Amino acid sequence: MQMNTPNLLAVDESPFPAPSAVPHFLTAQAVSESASMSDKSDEFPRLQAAPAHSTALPPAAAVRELPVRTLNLQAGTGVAQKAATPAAAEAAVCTFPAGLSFEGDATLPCDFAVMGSIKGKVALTGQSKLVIAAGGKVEGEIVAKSISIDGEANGKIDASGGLVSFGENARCTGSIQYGRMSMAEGAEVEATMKKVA
Amino acid sequence: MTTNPHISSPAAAAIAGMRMIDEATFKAATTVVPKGAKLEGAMSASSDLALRIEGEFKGKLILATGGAIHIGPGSVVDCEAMEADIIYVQGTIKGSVHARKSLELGPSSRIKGNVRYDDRLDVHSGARVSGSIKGPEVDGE
Repeated sequence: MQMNTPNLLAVDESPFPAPSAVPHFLTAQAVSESASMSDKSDEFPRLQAAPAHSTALPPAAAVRELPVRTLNLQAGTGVAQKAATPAAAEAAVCTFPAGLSFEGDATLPCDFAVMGSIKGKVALTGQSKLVIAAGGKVEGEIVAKSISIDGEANGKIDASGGLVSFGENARCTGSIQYGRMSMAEGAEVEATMKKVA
Repeated sequence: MTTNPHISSPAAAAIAGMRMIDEATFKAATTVVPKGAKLEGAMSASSDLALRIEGEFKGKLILATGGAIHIGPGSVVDCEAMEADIIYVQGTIKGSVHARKSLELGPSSRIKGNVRYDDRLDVHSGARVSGSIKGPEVDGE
């Protein structure tokens, strides 16, 4: 009997992926779309465990809650790390999205694309490239080996020995230290420029 | 499905559902502070952004309605104020955290300070919190 119950269940549940076979996060969309399904797949382990403690329901519920939690927990960390590691650390490109504003000091070890608005100091270490995209704005000080501006930059730009390039939407005021420079037609630049090799 | 955390069976499903929503929320998250980066100051957003912090951040971080913050593993945050709808913590936080909807503390999270959540809290085994936790005192609608 005890063998039959889970088997029957397994047949019943067969259209759905068994919770143990498929990691929880893979079914995330399906689960969030239909709560009833997540209920069913969650009940699966409990019903298997139920015959063992046939008299006591609370322990069964406790048993059931634990595996669900650990599954989710692993799914959570796994997904987060998968999403985070290759995109941010390995490829080392960081974006500052439109709609976000920041006031203060920023030091970054990677390429940085600004689409939002930054007031303060932005410093990129190494050979990293700073991009101020159209719509992006930086007010203050910029230090990087390679700077590409297609948005707005006001203040001090320091790309000593490096490259500064202005796109056609660029607007820039202040002072610029550069090694090499390129400027597209349409760029509005009003700045003191100094070549520093 | 009830959101009452005292009812054990549907609550697990509810939590599972919440977890899943969080996954989707952070799938499109932009890493604003990558590993090795240091930001100090005040950050705020008017739109519903999902941000990820993996480096060091010090200051204020306030996101408008719909905003979500993921404090990634290994990150160190020292914030006088952090506020967003959804906050998922896997790193170290010192200071105040306020999640207007859900707050989830992953197994590697270390929090010292004041934690506030207005709807749901999920603390995974392994998380460390030292300080105060303030939540809704009445069951939500």
